[in-house]
Amino acid sequence: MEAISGTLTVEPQSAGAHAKPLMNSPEQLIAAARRGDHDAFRHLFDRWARPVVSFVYDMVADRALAEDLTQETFVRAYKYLDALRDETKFSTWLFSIAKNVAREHLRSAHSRSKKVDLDDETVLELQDERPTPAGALLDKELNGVVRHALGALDEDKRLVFTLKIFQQRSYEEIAEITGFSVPKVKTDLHRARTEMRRRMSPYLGVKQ
Amino acid sequence: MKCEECSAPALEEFLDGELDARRAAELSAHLAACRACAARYDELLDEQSLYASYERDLNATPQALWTGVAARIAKEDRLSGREQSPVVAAGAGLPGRVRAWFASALVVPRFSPALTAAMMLLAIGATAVVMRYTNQQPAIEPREIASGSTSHPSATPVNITPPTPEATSTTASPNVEPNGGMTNVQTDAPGKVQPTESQRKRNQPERKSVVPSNDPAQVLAASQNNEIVRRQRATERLVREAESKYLAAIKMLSEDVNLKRTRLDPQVAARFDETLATIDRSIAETRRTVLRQRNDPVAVQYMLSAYAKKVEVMREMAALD
Repeated sequence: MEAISGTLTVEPQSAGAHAKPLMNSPEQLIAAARRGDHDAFRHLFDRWARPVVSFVYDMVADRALAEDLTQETFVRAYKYLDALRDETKFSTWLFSIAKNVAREHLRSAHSRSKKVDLDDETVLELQDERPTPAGALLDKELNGVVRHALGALDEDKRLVFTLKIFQQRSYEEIAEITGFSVPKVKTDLHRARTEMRRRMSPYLGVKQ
Repeated sequence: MKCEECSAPALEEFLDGELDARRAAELSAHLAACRACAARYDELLDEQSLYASYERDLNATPQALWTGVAARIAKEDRLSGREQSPVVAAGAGLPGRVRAWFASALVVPRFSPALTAAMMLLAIGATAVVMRYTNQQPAIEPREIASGSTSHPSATPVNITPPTPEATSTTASPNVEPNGGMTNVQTDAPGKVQPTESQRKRNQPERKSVVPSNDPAQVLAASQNNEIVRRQRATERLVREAESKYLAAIKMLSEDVNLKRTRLDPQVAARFDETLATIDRSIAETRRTVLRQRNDPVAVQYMLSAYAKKVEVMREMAALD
C-alpha cells in the first residue's frame, strides 16, 4: 500500500508558488500531469522530492550529485508517466526510477572510485579510546559515521537498508522497487543491519 | 515460542511489522516472558532510534530542484509533442502563439477604432507574454551567453521622424545598421542580412557534449546548460519577432501618418512629431539596454512598451480628421 492514498499536502515553502487545488488525489494529479499539466506534476514533485533526494543521497553520498540525480529521476518520471500502470503505486514506481538513476551512476568507473572504503579514516577514529563526544559534536560525528557506514555496505544491501530504515518501505515494496525477491530483501536487510551494527557499535547505547 | 525461534531475523521482521498476526502474537508473548530476548529486541529499538536521528547534509529546497526539472520537462513536452493543457500551453507553445496573435491582428484593415483597441491590447499582451516568458528563464547565465553574442539578427530603430542624437547614436551599436528611414528587421530569410559563418561559429555555445564523457553528472550538466542556452535563444527570438511585428505595424502606419501630416495643423503636427521623437529616444535607449542584457525582463518590457506607445500615437495621428 502506498504511503499516500488520500489527499496530498504541499510543503510550506511551496505553498502559493503554483496555484492548484490542494485536494487533488495523486491519481488526479497523475492524470493531469500525463496531459502535460506541469502544475499537477509540480504537486507530485513537492510531495516526493525530499524523500527521493534523501534516498539518492544515501545511495551516492554526494549532495550535489544527489540533487542532480533527483532532478533526472523526476524528468524520467514525467517522460514515462504513461508507463505507470497502477497510479496508487506512484511512489514505488518513482523510487524504482530513482534506484535506476542512482545505480547507473554508481556503475560508472567514476562512482566506483569514490566508494567509501572500510578503512576510511572516520571509521577508524571511532575505534580509538577517546572519551565519548557529546551533544552537537556527537550528532555531527554520528551523521558522518552513519553516512560512511552506509557507504561501506555493498550496493544491494545499502539499497534495501535505506529503503527500509529511512524510507519505511515494506518488504514487498522494496522488492518492487529493487526487483529483488522478498527472501533476498530479507536476507540483504538482515546482513546490512548486522554490518551497520558492527560499524555503529561505539555509538549504540550512547545516543539515547 | 522458544528462544531458538526468536532469531535475529524474526525479531527484525517483528520490528518491521512484517510478521503475520499469529507469529507476531507469539513473539510478543515470548518477549514479555523472556528477559534475554527482550534485551536483544531493545538493542534493535536502540539502533532504530539512532538511525532515526540521522540528518543528511542536504540543503536544496524542492523549489530549487524544481527549477531544473521544470525546464527539462518543458523540453520533453516539445520533443514528444505532448499535448499541453490550456494552462500549460502558455509556456511551451508561446512563440507560435505570439506569432499567430500578431499575424492575425495585423492583417485587419487599418485605422478602424476596433483595430486601434486591438493593437493596444496586442501590444500590452505581447509585452506581458514576452515578460512572462523571460521571467521563466533560469537565473544562471551560461558563460557563452553572458559574454554577449553580438551578431544575432535584430531590428534597427524605427525612424519615422528625423533621428534624434540619441536615436542616431544607437546606430553605433554593432547590431544596428542604419539604412535610412524605415528599416527591416534582419531575419534568417533568404536575401536578408545574415551572420557570416565565422560569426555563427563565434556565437555557438561551447557545447560540452563535444567532449565525450560517460559521466552522467557531466552529461546532465551539459544537457542543462544547453537547455538554458536554448531557452535564452528562444527568448531572444521571441523578443525579436515581437519587435519586428511592431516595426511592421509602424511601417504600415507611417505612410498614412506622413500623408496625414501634410493636412494637419502645423502646431498639431509638431506636437505629434515631438511626442514621436521622445518615444524614439525611449526605444533607442531601451534597445541598447536589451542588447546589453538580452534576458533582462524589465528592459524587454520597457522596450516593447515604447514600441506599443509609438503605435498608439501613430494610430491616433492617422485617425485625426
